[in-house]
Amino acid sequence: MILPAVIEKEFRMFFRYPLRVVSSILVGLVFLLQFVFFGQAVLGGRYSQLLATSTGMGDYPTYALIGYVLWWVSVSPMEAYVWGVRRELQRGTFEMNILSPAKILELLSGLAISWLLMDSALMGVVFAIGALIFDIPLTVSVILKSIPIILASLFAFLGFGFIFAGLVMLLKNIGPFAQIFEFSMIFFSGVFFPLSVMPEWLVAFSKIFPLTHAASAVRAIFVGKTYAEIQGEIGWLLFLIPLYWMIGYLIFKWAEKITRVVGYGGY
Amino acid sequence: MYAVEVFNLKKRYPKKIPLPLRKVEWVEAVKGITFKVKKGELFGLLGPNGAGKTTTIKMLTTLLEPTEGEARILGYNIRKDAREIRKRINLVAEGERTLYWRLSAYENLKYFARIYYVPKREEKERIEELLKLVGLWERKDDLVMNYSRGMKQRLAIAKALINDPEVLFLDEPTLGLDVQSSIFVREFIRKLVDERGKTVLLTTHYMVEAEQLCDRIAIIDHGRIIALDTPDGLKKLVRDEDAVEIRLKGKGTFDNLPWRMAVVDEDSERGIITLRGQVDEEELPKLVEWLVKKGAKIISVEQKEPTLEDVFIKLTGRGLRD
Amino acid sequence: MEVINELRALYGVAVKSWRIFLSYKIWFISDVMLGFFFVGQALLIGIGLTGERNSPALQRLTGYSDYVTFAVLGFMVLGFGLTFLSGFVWSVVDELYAGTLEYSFAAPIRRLTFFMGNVLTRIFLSLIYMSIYVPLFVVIFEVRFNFLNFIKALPVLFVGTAGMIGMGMAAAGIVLYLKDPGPFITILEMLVFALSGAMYPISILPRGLQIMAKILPYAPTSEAVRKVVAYGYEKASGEISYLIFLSLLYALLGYLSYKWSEKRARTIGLKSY
Repeated sequence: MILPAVIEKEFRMFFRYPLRVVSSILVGLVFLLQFVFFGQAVLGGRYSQLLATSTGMGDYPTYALIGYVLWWVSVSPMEAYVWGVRRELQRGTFEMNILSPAKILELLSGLAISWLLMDSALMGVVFAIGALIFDIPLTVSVILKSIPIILASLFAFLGFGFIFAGLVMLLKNIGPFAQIFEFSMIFFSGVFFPLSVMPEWLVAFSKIFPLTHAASAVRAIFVGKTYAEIQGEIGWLLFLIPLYWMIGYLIFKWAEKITRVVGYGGY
Repeated sequence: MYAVEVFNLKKRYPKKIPLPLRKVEWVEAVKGITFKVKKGELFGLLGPNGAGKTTTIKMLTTLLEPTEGEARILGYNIRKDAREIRKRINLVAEGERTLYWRLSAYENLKYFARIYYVPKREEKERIEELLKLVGLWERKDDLVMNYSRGMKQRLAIAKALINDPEVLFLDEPTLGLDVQSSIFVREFIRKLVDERGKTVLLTTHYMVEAEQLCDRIAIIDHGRIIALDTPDGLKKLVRDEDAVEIRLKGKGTFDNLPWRMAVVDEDSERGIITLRGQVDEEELPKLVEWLVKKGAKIISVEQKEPTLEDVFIKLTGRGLRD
Repeated sequence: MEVINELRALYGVAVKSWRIFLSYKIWFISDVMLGFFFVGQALLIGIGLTGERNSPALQRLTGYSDYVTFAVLGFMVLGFGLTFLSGFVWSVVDELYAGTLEYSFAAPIRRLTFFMGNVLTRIFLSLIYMSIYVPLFVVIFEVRFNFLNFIKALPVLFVGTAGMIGMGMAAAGIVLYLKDPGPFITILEMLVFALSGAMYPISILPRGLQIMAKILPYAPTSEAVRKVVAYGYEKASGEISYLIFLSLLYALLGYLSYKWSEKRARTIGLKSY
């Protein structure tokens, strides 16, 4: 029962400070507002014919809100490894965890799942507030239909972030690089603008990110498409889940071997 | 039956993380040590900072892979049976940040109870017992960040007992503690061995601590064990002659004297240096003369009962201080 | 003589915080990237939504049809303005967390000197950022700048600066009493960020937020600067007089609230941790 223990610990440490929760939600909202309001000011309204032609969704606030919320959640496991693990390494609590008979893999994935759940909760709130501010029409059926897609996406995000679990144990200054990488995902995956403005090779490259497919699938559901019409995206997601879990696992095993030689306090 | 058996254990560290294609230099921290700890024994590794004590403990607790050699904890091989060992041992690591400061004492122990697979029906009882044992029950709901250094260490010890380990490792358990807390921790460790039959392996660079507490001591320096015996046995090495303690005022360095003497204390405020070692009666006037020539003002020359410090000085020509 | 001593102390504080900054080199790269991230984002959103480099809608709202230039100007005013807020607040908080604040405050230098030293370093830093941004923006994003007009607008920026310093001081006064000031500062920075009018004219905000934006010194500064750059001083007189009024108010408010909090700090002691 390692997972619940890790999740409970992380939740207690985060939700103990209500002001921190509020500030996280506000940070989430402000970045969203920046770009949506900018888009609206440039557009002189909320509907873009060009966006509708290239992506199938013309309403800019809805388009941006879905992409943004998913982006935030998608980088959450990465953040858990880069910052969560690093924090525990620096403080010395990491070794105390490793020392226990629990498997490292269980402890680490527990950390990533905790952060993913916390961020999902925060982004749920941001999504609700965003939907209110921008007056986005929501129906129960659209939300219910999105849930399986979102769940599959979460699994893919976890696998994708897992790559960083191994790296952070080896490279101590990975933080700024991770941040640059996280922000470039916004570009690669078409969070705030349609990917059609990007060069073709980049569009092809963007296919390796689970976020690209997750965002495009959920947007499609929101404009009333059926699962059959988005089987391409769903297929990609289902393909990427085992792929990233496997790559992440291999990197992790390699990193673990080295850290056992160098020491976990290698910092 | 031995709780800990160590055969020619060695550890080399790379100076940088050895990534593919990167050339790295290696440093040898532990250069082949061998010793055995009996069940129910309180065993000490005594040595100056940087002697290889922490590296040894990390290898024995399966946190670090040895470069060469073998070790068994309760009969399990540290290379192959890490998980079996981890279930049966625990560690109080050096430093004060080994617990979650943003959790309460109770929440910390609850977390560790779970990742140590303590059965749910025993969890509550055990946490309560441990917190009472270390005298923190009254403040169990306070966040650890509001604890004093001594309270944090007591909680770290409670955490280390959460899985009722057969062998307990303690790395510098009293480092940085105030006098009262140090006494509490030492008495507590002794009781764990005497009353609960635990095996304890601790490291320290306080010779008084090693002398008072341990059944047997291995003196470790530069990654090698240079002596191993009971405190009395070790002191026999220096018993035939008394130790001489010289207090003097003076500038300059008094390390590396041509005699086996070492600086054991330095009162920088008053400029008083204390030298200690074993010197023949005939040699003593020569030593004093030599010191005076170097510009020292001798305050006192005294004969003292030999201690473990004298053993260390005799063996290495250096003192144990930081 | 006293002035020279105070200046030397100022220099000492500035050098110290510069050294501390230098110890985080890699963050510099990531910080610089952030600027490109914002401006690049603005360009791609504009093109993705309208397919054009100019927006008639924005022209109607603000007089700027080139939305990238609009965003760059706002971004630079915001970056400059946040320097003061962050300089004041983080200089207190970093030292509070590191445990060195009481030593710094126990020194005989004026506290204002201590703050200004930290702010100075940040201004220097933001000048470095600008000197990286401006030429690269012009080359990469084809931002069209009339430099003469921009320099003409500098006095307006300095008027706004007085208000921003005032707000920074007031915030620093509050922060001294918070047990966990990190989130409070983040909230404050985010409010400023959202209401600064950097990326969009505040006239498209909902009514309540518009009023809040008008009350903080940031949006009035960026609006006045933009208007001067686009139309010159005469047309911007309304914005400028409002900005002067607001800035004076904040300067006064900041000074008074900081004085008050300093007095309190001496009676009840700094922070509770």
